Amino acid sequence: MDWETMESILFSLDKIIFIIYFLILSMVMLVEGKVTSFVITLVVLTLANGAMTSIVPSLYQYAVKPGLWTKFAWYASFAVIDTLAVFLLFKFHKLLKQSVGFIANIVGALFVLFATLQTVRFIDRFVFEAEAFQLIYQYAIPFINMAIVPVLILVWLFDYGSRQKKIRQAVII
Amino acid sequence: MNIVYACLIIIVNILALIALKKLRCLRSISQIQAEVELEMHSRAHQLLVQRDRLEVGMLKEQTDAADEQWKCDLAEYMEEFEQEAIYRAKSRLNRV
Repeated sequence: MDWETMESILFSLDKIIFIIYFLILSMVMLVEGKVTSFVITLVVLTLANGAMTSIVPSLYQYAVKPGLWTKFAWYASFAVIDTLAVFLLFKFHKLLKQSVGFIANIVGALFVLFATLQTVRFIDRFVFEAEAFQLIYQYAIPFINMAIVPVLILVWLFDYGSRQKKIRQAVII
Repeated sequence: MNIVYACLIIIVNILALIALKKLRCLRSISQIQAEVELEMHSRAHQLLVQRDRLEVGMLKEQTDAADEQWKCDLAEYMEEFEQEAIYRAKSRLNRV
């Protein structure tokens, strides 16, 4: 499989993941009916994923042009979106006076990991002129993006189930 | 020039780490509040049970005394947990 085919698959995966986040967010909002840490996390994930998906085609066209600046624009754009996502997670929790849940903490750490991967890959490629992190960069980000989806659903189902159980117990008492 | 761009992207990365640190700090605050709320709830429940037991089978004077004692206990525990919350926030969030 050549790189162009691989890229087209990865780009289409991004769109699918964005739609999945959007559907999960709609479903959770319908079921929960209130703002929770999980809802905030989903909103930020959907926003960040949507922003990245929308800029990828034009950014890619720009990045293939010669010059270091164009390559820097590719890596730095994603790093900036990841950074803004963590900041939004923090700010939304603070403004809406919500406790930071387990999944918000994990997603925040993952955004930092993504930003670090962009940084490490840029330095690896253009400062050390090595290709040591090429494979990690190429596969880790799409893989983690895909892995978050089932983890999110499982954590939400577990959390929702335990909250319903507590409510039932409180009613009995 | 490569180094300049590398420094710029490292700065972005550091900002991401700072944002994560702030998020974790907020999580610690939430946990402290939850812990204190749980302890206060548990203690208040114990106090209610204690008062119910005292009231059962008591004369009027004894009930009044028990009620007064309960109010004192409640005020003491409220003060105790408020102080505990401040202490925990100071000891665990000293990096803020």
